[in-house]
Amino acid sequence: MTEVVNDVDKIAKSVTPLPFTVECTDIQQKLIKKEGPITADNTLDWLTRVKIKDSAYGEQEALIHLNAPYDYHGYRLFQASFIADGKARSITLRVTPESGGAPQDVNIPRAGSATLPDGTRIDFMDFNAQFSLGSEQVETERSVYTNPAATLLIHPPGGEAVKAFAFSPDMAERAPIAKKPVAGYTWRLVDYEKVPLAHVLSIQKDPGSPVVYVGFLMLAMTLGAVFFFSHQRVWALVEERGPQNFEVVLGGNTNRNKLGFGDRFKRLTGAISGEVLEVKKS
Amino acid sequence: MSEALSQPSVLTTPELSIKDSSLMSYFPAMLAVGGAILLTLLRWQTGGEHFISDGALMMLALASYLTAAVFFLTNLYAPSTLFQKIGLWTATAGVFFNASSWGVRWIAAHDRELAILSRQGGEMPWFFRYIPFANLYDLSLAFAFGAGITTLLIAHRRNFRFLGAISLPLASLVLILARFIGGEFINLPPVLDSYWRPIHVGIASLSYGIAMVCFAIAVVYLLKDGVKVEAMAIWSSIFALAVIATIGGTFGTFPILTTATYSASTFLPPRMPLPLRADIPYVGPLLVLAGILLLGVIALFGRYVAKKDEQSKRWGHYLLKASLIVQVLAIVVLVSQVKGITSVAVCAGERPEGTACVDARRFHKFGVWMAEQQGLTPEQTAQIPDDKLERGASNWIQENQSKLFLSLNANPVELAALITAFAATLFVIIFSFRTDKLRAALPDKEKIDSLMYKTGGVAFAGLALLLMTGAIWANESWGRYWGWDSKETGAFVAWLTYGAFLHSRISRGWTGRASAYFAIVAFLLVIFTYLGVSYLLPGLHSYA
Repeated sequence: MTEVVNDVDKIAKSVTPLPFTVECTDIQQKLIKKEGPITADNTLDWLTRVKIKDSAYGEQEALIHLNAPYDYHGYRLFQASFIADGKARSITLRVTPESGGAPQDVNIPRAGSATLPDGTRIDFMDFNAQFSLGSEQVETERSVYTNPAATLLIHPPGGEAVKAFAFSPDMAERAPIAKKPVAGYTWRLVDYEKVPLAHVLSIQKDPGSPVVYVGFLMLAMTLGAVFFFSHQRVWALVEERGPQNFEVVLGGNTNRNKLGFGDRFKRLTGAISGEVLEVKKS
Repeated sequence: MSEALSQPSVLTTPELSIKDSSLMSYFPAMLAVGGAILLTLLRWQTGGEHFISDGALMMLALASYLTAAVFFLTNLYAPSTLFQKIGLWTATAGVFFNASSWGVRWIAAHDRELAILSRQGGEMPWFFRYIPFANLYDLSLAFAFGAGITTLLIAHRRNFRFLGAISLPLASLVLILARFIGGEFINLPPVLDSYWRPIHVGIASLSYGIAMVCFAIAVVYLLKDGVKVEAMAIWSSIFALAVIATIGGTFGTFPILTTATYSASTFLPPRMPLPLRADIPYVGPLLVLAGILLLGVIALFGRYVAKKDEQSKRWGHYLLKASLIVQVLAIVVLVSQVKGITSVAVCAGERPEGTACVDARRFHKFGVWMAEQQGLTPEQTAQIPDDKLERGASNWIQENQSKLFLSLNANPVELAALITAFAATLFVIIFSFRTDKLRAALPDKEKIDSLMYKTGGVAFAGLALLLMTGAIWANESWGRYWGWDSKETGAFVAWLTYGAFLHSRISRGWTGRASAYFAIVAFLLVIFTYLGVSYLLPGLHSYA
């Protein structure tokens, strides 16, 4: 796992080994408007399915999506961000026999396979949104599907596996390579479920979070105490000046809201003008 | 030690208790909340078919708040126990309707989820999933409730019942904003589907409400402290002028001042807002006139404050009243035009009756938006020639213009800001009427100042809890406590300002006017966080 390290004088990236490996098995981007663009604005949720392989705890599968991180033995896996990738979750191929015959449509999920009636197996190896034969791969916006192409590995019955590309029908018209049959078939890419963005997970090991939360709780309680339970003290000095005649001297202080306290204090002093009903002497 | 100290005397006095209020003085607040809970339960039991809707309850709350404010205000000029009582009980009704609206909405959201489930199947989500804290409408309901309940709680002290005259109109403005936003339910994005949402957003709305009351107290303090109404008019006019300058188009383009035209956003059925504005007749020139009058107010009152020129003061008041009339006219015309205009079209030549025209200068922006909707990146869009973008936009608008329509829900913040500017002008005019009598009717400065301190303190504590719960939610959902998101930063700055308000008071002894200015600035920052971030800046909190 790569993480950002904040030292006193620099910020650097470091690689931290994890005691387990994470293998992504599927990603999915749920859209708000299905016919809308595959952008962050139009996204309801990003889902990532992973397989965690750990020598200590074996293998297990997990689903991680927004607001639903996955806790794994003190580690927490979050759906963190995304980067442009330009892949496909599934493809639909139109396979036409070279010898003539009706074309058939085959749907293959990512990293999956399909087998034709004659026993030919097709492995869906890779997908490229901007296929190019040369080295002129466009690196800037890989999530724009200008020249989509699927990379396939064809296993003819009894023959050796051969690599083939399936292009969209309009591109196939332009590229001679696409017209050439491979393993006895022509391969056309007629549909695909776009996955323009790769998901980035963050993995957190944060054994200190309970301490932070307790700190938050204490701060909240202190704030309550500070504002709602001010310390107020009142002293009274009562001196007998004569029979049925007392002098009462009052004093007081408070640590907060002196004006409010002054108000109450004035009312208190104003109230002490009553008649003496009883004098207790001990 | 004197003998008397060891011989305590027992004095009977009617008011010896330091506590001056009984639990019963909180009865209106308890009644409002208790009644709202009962009504919500009743809605739960009886179903929604023949029950009053949350929208209707919200309008009742709005009417009650405004009525209560009128009685409280009248009571200041012509003190009457009856008026005060009517004000208090109408305010109680307002808080009851406000809280009921929110509660009934919760149950209505549950019914909606049930209806979706019966169509599509699936598991019934947990109870807090559809708690109405999902968008700015829900938050506004709770915000207004926060201000209303704080006013009722403060009203347990008879001396401070007048506060409703200022705080309830402010709460009404928030409800008006909610009305313009519109109460449609949204599908909850997964990013919001957490039990931290009711905790975090609930604290936000209540502390915003308390901050609003603190602001109202600060304004009252300034009035009591002898700040000239004309100085207040300068500030309210600057605010109104800023509103007029910025509404009607993209932020920062000053469309009203540069073209004298107001344009409203259009909708595509069923209710999809488009970034395409259509010109509304008459509103622009009226707003320009209001702006000119307000400029005159600022100049004349500025001269009066600086040079004590009585002539300027008199003419300033004339212009202020004239600007109020023009502002009312502009709002009335705007609302009636939006309601009355039946079609939106690209006009060639004269504007047909009942039509809002889309000007050709809007094609480019709309064309860019259309390209984005087709999945093109900004770089790819930039490579498309301008005339092609504009032609595409023009063609689309001409094909679809029969479907486009206008709605009061299209520009909620603009409409609410116009009404707020009008309310600010109105209040300054009210304050200018028998100001000395009004000042005399207000409680002592020290008492107002003390109340401002208390509400500011509670707002500070509330905002601190808001930041804490937000940080915990962020850590639980995204693995980090803080991300410098625009709303996070806004809330943090507002919290710091309330902190500075308290700190300057406790350690530097800044009370009174300086403290009141601090409270006003802090609340403006709260409002910026509440609205400005949602509408102007992108970020994690863009939905609310």
